[in-house]
Amino acid sequence: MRKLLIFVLLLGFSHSYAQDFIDKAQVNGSFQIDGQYYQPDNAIGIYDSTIDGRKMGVNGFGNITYTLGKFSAGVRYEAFLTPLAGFDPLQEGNGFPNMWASYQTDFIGVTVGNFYEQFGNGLVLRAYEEWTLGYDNSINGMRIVLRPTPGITLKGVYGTQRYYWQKFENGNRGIVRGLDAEFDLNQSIKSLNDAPVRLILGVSGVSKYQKDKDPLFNLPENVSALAGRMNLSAGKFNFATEYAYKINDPSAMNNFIYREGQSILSSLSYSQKGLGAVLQLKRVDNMSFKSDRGIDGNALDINFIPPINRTHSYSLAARYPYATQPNGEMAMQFQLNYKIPKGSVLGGKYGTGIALNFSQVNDIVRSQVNDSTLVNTQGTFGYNSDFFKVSDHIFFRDFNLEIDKKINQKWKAVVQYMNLYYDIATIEGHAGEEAVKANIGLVDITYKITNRNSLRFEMQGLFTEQDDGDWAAALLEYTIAPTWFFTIADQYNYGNPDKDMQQHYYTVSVGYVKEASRIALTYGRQSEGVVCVGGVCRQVPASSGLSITLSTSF
Amino acid sequence: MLMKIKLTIAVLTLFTVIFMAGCDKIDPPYINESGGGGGDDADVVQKVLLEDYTGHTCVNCPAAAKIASDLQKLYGEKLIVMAVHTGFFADPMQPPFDTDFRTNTGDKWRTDFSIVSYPSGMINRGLEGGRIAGKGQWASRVDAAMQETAKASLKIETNYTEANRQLALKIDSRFLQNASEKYLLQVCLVEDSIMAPQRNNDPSVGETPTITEYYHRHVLRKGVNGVNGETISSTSIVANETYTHEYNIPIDVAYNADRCSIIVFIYREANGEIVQVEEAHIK
Repeated sequence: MRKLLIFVLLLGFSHSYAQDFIDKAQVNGSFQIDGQYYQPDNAIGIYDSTIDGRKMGVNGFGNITYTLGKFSAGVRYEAFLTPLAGFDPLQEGNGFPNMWASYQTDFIGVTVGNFYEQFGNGLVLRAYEEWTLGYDNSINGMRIVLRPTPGITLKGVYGTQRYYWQKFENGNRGIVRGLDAEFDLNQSIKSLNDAPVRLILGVSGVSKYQKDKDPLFNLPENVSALAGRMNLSAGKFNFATEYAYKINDPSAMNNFIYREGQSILSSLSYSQKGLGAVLQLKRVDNMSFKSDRGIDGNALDINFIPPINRTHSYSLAARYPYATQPNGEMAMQFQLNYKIPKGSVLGGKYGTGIALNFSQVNDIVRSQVNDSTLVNTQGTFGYNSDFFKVSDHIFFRDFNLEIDKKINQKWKAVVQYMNLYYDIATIEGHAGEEAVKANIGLVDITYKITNRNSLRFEMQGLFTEQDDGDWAAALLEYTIAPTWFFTIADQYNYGNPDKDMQQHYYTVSVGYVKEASRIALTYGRQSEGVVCVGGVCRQVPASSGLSITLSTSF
Repeated sequence: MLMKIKLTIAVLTLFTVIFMAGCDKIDPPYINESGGGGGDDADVVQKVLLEDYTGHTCVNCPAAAKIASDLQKLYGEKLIVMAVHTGFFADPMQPPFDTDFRTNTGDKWRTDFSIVSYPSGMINRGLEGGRIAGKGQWASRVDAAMQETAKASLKIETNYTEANRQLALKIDSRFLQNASEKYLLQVCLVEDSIMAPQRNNDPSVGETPTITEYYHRHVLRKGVNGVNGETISSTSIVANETYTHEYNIPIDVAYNADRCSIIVFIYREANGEIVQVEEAHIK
């Protein structure tokens, strides 16, 4: 708190025009509290011993940003007392993890304190925060952005990354340094300003320093990664690609092997009115890059491997989400969006939207470096891998088709079918378990009673012979726009091979929205599962009780 | 235009310099052939306890056990390992995973120290860098703990009677300096090399997904003097005074007495940090 006071005072006295400091300033903020009261529910395996006295979990944050012309500053407060079930116990604590100040002009931008940053697609650097995962790898240090001439942007960052509430001291994690340069040729060269073909080139370099204190291995104290990227657009087509390379980086993530890392991500898209198509390809080989080589959980990532799979929002469709495998994967995705025109036989009065999506992720092929060393043996080079070979081992496959249709002024509907292959052994670590092969179907119907009142009904089915077997889900939501909503929902695991686990997971919710504030109360059961954002996942344990979410911003 | 070309060249040069300067390319051998330092030649040697929180269906746990074993080879008797089977991955399941290695002591420690992911470790239950350490942190943490100066010594005398499987224990604790804070003595029974199946996802450690004939090392069997041990002295600790604790415990017939050991450690009540540890075979 003392630090915060000094920070605020510095802000106040550093400006010579005290009155402007108040009158011309702008202050923004956002707040959220997620709380849950847990109750024992023996039928779904929650006993007093599971709760272990922690009957309440509360996660909360507040962001406040002060802006005065080219100057801005902000703080972030967080309190996890105690953290909600499923969040890392290291989250427990409260305080101001982030404070920053920034000065921005057309030529230069300087930030001190905690900041978020991304170079290109993030293959070598991405610092970000994701509240639903309890993830924050912000950098505490300095960032400088230079725009010397139109079309050229240079960025430099250095600092240490956030690791829950643990202060950086005595080299307890690495130091991150990075540079990024981006050249927009069309902006750089006047004669090309309005050219139909547009080209942006970028290059990034990131280096990590961490002292070698390991008695078992000779470890590199400086590990660098370099990436180059291009974005070329011509008319309705766009092609983007980025390649990243990392030198030897033995770590807990790759079992302390000394092989270099590589990653490539490419995307070709076409877009016109009513039609969009995108094809994406990705190869990842040993590209986990963390600022502490000893960490193997969701923390201290320097880079980010973007997933190229559809993110599903319906509960059963999202039951088996894909988690990126930084040690190796080859992925492809094709997405087609088409709007059948209004007035046609299939389009009807309002048109019909069709979204077709297919994605598949396989392992890379690995071979022994010599006859006597098994693949991925720690303290060795690890393995050899042919860049273009795809393993037969499928991690994930998702084919889905969605049709959305506004039938008339009162009715609209969404229908979706999904065929899924999910290697639960690799993705969730359930070794020896058979991959989940599932068919999922859902229908979502909205009936507009009046301009303000509407009913929404969801029905979903997940059919599989693996894992927990078949599920059915139903939801009914009544909305009084723009303030109230009431929901009752149930997920029923009627096909669970364990009869005792053929349980209903029911919830009742009520929500109130006013301006930028939202309050929601939910009572019921939450089934065990996985929640993923951007291919980064956390386990969600089964729970039962009353939860509240309150958010507001100004 | 010339200025832009110069700027571009300057930026690319800077990138190259930073990339080259920021690289440590390591050539074989990758494994450190020296090491094993710490725990000086003083009369009282600082020993280190590595607690490996594990379970028989935890796929990453055999790789962690291998790291513990490699570290023991490096540090010899100065490193004591105890495998605590607890949590979801230790639950008995359908055969062949029906073995129950769980203990009340281990379960209590798991909740007390908020261990939720496996494998997790604690090195002398030290707080430096966070109490819980992932397997990738064990080596550096063990090495750091070895550099500490010993504050106490432990001596274990065992007297095992085969006929009635009774073990008589005499434990002498001696501190090198006076201390006003409270210390506790924890006594544990462990059994080594129990063969039972183990899930595994690391082919370099063993067969996947299950190592059928896996030797579970240093398995915690019970807390001899409760889950949190007992106070060494109700009054202030006096330097070089010997505090003696004696126990008589039965050894369960299911345990192989030839492979059973006693692990004893002294820890601070205030923060839980272990200041000394010792191990002795019961036979």
